[in-house]
Amino acid sequence: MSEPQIKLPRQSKGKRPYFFDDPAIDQMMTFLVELTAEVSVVYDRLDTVERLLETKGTISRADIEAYRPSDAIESERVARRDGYLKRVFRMHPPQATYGKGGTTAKPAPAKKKRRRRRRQRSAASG
Amino acid sequence: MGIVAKPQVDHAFLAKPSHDELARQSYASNLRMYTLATIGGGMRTVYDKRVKPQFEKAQGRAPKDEHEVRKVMLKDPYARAWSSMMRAAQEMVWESVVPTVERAQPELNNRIEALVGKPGVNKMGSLSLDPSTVKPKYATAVDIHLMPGNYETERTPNDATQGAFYDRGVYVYQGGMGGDNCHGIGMSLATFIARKFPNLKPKKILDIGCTVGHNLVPYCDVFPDAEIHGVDMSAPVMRYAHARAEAMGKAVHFHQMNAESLKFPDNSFDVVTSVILFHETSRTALRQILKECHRVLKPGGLMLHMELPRTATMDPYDAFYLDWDAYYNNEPYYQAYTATDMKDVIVGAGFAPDKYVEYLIPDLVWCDPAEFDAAVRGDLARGNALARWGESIKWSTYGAWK
Repeated sequence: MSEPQIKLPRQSKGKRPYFFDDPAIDQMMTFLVELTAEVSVVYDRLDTVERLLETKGTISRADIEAYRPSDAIESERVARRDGYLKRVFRMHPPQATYGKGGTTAKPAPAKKKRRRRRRQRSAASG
Repeated sequence: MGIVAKPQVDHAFLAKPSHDELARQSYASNLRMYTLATIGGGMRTVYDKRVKPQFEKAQGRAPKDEHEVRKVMLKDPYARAWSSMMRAAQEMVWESVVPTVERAQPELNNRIEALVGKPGVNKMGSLSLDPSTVKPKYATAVDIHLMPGNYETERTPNDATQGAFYDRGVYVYQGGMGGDNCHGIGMSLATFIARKFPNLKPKKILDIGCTVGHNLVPYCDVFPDAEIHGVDMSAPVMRYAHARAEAMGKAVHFHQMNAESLKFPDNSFDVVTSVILFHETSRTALRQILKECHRVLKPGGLMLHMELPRTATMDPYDAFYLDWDAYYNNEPYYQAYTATDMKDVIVGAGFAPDKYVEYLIPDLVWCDPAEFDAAVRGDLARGNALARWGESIKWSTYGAWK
């Protein structure tokens, strides 16, 4: 075809906000959320295969691709996805304060020590 | 349990997802609604139980406005996790639609061009494009609500991609809760006008910033004798809107125009409306758009705009929650909009102060018909304007008679 292939941008224009002190955690959240989507897609596909096999002895990929859930089946799937969301994104219950350990673990001192030691070492070698 | 919405109504130009793409899009809808309703619902508890008491202990008073609430809430681990998920879910909504739209092209553009461009094709409505339309900075600076490419990106002379992308993306975003044609808000507004003002009998109706016509097409059914017009700045969106309306058998006249400088003569329309437009325009543009609405409206005509609730007068927590999108979902004008006194700017645009009107209109897709009747009669309890789709949502509407 003479028309150029149209590609859509994957990212939106504008600065992306981060919510955790370390943006790597937001990045991990994106990985996690996307991974849950893939699991859900596999589950729906499996569900399609099972439902098709219930009515036909053998099925082809084309049968799977052509399958579209009826409203009743989609409503079963929504209920299943809802339970799945509840299990995977199990928020820690909102409470007045956190238990022992607190909200801010402090790994900082160990780092400082190491740096000091390194400085001492370089002073000794110099 | 998540709400089971009807599938999007198919039409000849809707980009069709594959089996797995549909599964991914359905999941994106469910994830977004779960994050918004269930996890988002817990945010209030976090605020009441943990964040607010800590603030009060430190400051000796409650947070005074949404900005103070935002500052302390976004330090809380629950709110951070929720925010991070919300952002990722919104990105997923669009991302899940990208492969579907890309695969539909360029065949889709060619089919739309065949309908749009060929003379002699018997069409119900019309399309007029104006390449000289000036797109202001507020429309192009960021991709509004994270839709990659925004409304206006045009890749080929016949491109309608962003219209197709928006049509499917909005359905996934709404999780079908805006109706199976994403038409619920427009249908509610049109029906309200028809029932509240039965003697108005409009002959010409204009909707500004109509995008692909989701909320404009319902006017055709509610006002079958009226001539229906819609304007939007984006040519790709207008091409798609025209094709979509024709495919649905609806007569709509689409015009590529900037609502700040409409090309219609004075006193052209009986009714001028918009749906959720103003929070996507700058404050300067808002004033100019309202002046144009006044100019093109016939004397005795009605202007009504349906929008998100204004947060300026709300409880600081509710305002923070609603304005989250303004900060983190690329809605840069939402804040300015919510702080604007609409009566003030409507009067400033030339309407008489005693002709100003405002209504709360229940969403027809979800409300009890008796509630809609009450809104038409004018004795609707104000209720909760914060309610979301699937609950008893009511839309803030305001305008004026000329």
